[in-house]
Amino acid sequence: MATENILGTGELWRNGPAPGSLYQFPGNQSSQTSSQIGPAKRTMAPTVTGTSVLGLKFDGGVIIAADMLGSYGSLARYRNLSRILKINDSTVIGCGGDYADFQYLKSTINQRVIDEECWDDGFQYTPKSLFSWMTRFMYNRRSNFDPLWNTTVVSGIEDGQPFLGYVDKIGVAYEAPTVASGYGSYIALPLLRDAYAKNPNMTMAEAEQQIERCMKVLFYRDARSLNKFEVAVVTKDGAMIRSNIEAKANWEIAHLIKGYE
Amino acid sequence: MSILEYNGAAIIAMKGKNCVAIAADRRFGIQAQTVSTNFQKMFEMGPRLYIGLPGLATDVQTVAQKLQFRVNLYELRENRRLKPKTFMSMVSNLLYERRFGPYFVEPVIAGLDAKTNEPYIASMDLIGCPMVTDEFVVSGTCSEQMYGMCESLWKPDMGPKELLDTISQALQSAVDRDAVSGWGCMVHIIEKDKVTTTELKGRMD
Amino acid sequence: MNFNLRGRKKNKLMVCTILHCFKSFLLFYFFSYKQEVVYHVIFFEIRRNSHCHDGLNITDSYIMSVLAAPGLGDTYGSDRPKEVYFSPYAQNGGTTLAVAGNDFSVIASDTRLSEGFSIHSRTNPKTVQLTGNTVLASCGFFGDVLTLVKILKARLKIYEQDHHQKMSTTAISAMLSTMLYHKRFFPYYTDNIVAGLDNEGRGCVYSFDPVGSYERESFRAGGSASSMMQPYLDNRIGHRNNPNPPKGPLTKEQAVKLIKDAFIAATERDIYTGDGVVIHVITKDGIETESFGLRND
Repeated sequence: MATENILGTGELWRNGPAPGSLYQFPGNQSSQTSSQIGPAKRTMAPTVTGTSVLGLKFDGGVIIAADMLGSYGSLARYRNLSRILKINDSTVIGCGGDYADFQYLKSTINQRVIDEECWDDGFQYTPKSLFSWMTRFMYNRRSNFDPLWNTTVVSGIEDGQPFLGYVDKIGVAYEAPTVASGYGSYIALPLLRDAYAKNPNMTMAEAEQQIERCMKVLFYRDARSLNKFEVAVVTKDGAMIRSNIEAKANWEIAHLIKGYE
Repeated sequence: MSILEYNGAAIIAMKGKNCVAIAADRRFGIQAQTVSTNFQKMFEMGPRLYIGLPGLATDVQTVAQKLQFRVNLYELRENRRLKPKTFMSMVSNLLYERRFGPYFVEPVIAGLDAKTNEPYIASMDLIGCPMVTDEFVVSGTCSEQMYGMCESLWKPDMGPKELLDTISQALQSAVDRDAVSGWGCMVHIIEKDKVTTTELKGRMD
Repeated sequence: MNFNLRGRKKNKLMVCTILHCFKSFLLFYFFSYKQEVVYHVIFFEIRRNSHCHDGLNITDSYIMSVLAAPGLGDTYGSDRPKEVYFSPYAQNGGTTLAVAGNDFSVIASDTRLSEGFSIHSRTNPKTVQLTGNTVLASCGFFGDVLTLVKILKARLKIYEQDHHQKMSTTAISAMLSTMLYHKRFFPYYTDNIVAGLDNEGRGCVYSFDPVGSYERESFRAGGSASSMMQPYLDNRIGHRNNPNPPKGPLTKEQAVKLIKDAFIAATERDIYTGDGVVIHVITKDGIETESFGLRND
C-alpha cells in the first residue's frame, strides 16, 4: 500500500539535495529522464476503437454483447462495425479496444481454424482451448512490447457447460459467470453481478433481457457507445449472432439534468 | 523515500475498559543509520492526556513544544483542564495552519476525559485531518504491520493489564518487521487515578 | 527504497536497484520502489499529425521538442502527437500464506482478483496443486502467474516422464528459483510460496522473491497483505515477543485456525484481499482443501 508522502513523490523533499550532497541549481542538468533520450518508433496507440463487451452465463448457455461503433478518438466514425466473431458452433469471441488489432486477431484466428480443419481429425477450437491460446497470444505480444490493444471476451459451450472468459492486452485472464470490459466493468458489471447473484440459473430470455438492459445503460452513460449492438448467444444448439439490435432509449428526462455547464 | 520515513517511528494507541494505552518505539535514526535509542516521541499534555508524534524528528520536537505552549495558554485562559477532544482540535488546527508547508508528523492522541474519565483516542494526518475511533489507531513507518497486529489482537473492553499485553505485543511484533523503527519501546497505560509507564525489552536490531 | 524486512533483521540488507535496459526500438526504464518493480514503457505516437501535412516530415528536433515537455502532448484538442504509456505489468493483488508443521504443511490464498479499484473475480484462488504433495501459491501480476504456472506444469510433466516419478517439493522449489532468475531482467512480477513435504516427510515451505531468491522457512505470508500478516505469524507461530509460548508442536487445526484469523484481520484493512480463502492441508495422505468466506467489500 502506498506510503507516499504528501509531495506524491519518492524524493526526500522537493527540489532538495540528497542527504550529504549539494543543491542542484537550474541549468545544471545532471540526469536525463528516459523521455528525453529519444522516441520509440512504433505506433502503439489505439486508433479506431470499440468500447465495452459484456458477457453473462445462463442456464445452458452464454450470451455476449458489444455495440457496433468504431470510434476515432471522440469521433463516432464507423457506425456498423461488428466486434463479435463466431469461431464455430460452440465458440464466439467479442473484442473491445483497437479495431485494427481485432481485425488482425480475426484473420489470425480464421487462418488457424482453417489449418485445424485441414487435419480433418474432427477436432476444432473449443472455448477453453481458444481462451488458452488467447492468453498466450496476448501475453507473448505484451512480452515483446508489441501488444494487441484489445480486451477479449471468450464465450461458448464445452462438454455441455457454458464458458465465459476474459483476456486483456497484457495477458491477465480469468473465467467468471459475468464479465465486462472497459466502461462496462464500472457501469454494467455491477448490474450483471447483481442479476446473476439473484438468479444464477437464468433462462436465455432473462439473460438477453439483462444484457439489453445493460447495453441501454451503457448507451446512456458511455460517451463512446452506440445505440446499436450485436448479441451472440451460444447454447448446445449452436452459436447465433443477432446484429443491429436497438435498445429503446428514453431521453425524456434528459432536460432535467443540468448544472454541469 | 518520503520525508515522513526519514527518521523512522511507530506509535499505537488503544482503547480498553476505562483505560487507554499509547505506545511508541524509541529509535532516532537518519534513514538506515540508528543514531540514538532513547528518543522521546510521546509527550504528556495533561495529567491523563498524551500525544505521540511519529515523523520527521525535528518537527516532532517543534510540534510538541508548540502544542505545550498552546495547552498552557488554554489552561491559563480558561482556568480548566483540556479535554482530549479539545486537544485533538487544537492539534488539528495547529497542523492545518501549515496546510501548504506542513510539519511532517502524523500524530496519535490518547487520553481520558478530565471530568468523565471517558477513554479517547484519535489519529491525524500531517495536515490535521482527524480520525477518532473506538478501538485503536496506528501511525508511523510500519503502519501496515501495526494494522495487521492490532486488527488480530485487539478486542473490546480489555482491562489495563490485558491492554498492556496487547499493545506491547502488537508494537513489538510490528517494529520487528520494520528496519527504521524499534530499538526499544515505551508504553503508557492511562487509568483514571494513575499512569503506568513500562519500558519494553525486545530485539535491539 | 523499502524498509520492510523480508528476512528477519539478521539480513539487514537493503538494495535499491536501478537498471536501464534498452531494446532496439524502444526504451524503458525500471526501478524498484516499494516492492514494486515498475516498468514504464513509453511509446510515442505521431498520429494526430494533421498539421504535419504528409505525416512523415517530422524532424528529430520536432520530436525532441515534443519530448522535452512530456505530458503536454496529450492535452485535449492539442495538435501535438499523442503520447501513450504502456505498462506490461499490472498489480492484481491477492494474499498468500503458508505454514509448515512437523508432518504437514498448510498453504492458503484469498480468492479475489482485482486491478486498481475494480474486482475482476471473487472466486479466483491463487493456489495451484503441482503434485500429490506440493502446492504453489502465486500472486502479483496475474498474466505472469498464469504463464509461470503453465511453464512450471509443463516442466513437471517432462520431469515425470523422464524420471518416472513426481518431482519433490524441494526440487520444484529449486527449479522455480532458476525459472524466476532466467527472467532476471524482465521479471515475472510474482510473489511465490511453495508448500509441501520434504524428502523426510516433514512439512516445508519455500518462499521466493520475484527474481528467484529463495529460502526454506516455517511460515511465510506473501502478496498484498503480507506486511500485515507476517508480524502476526512471527508472534503466533514464531512466538516472537511472547514471554509464555505454548508448549508442544503446532497442530494442523491450530495452523488452519491461525490462517483464518490472519486472513480475517488482513481483509479488514487491505482492499486487495477478501471474498474468500482456500486452504490446502498437505499431509502424507494427500491434500485436503477447504474454503472459507471473507467479507466482500
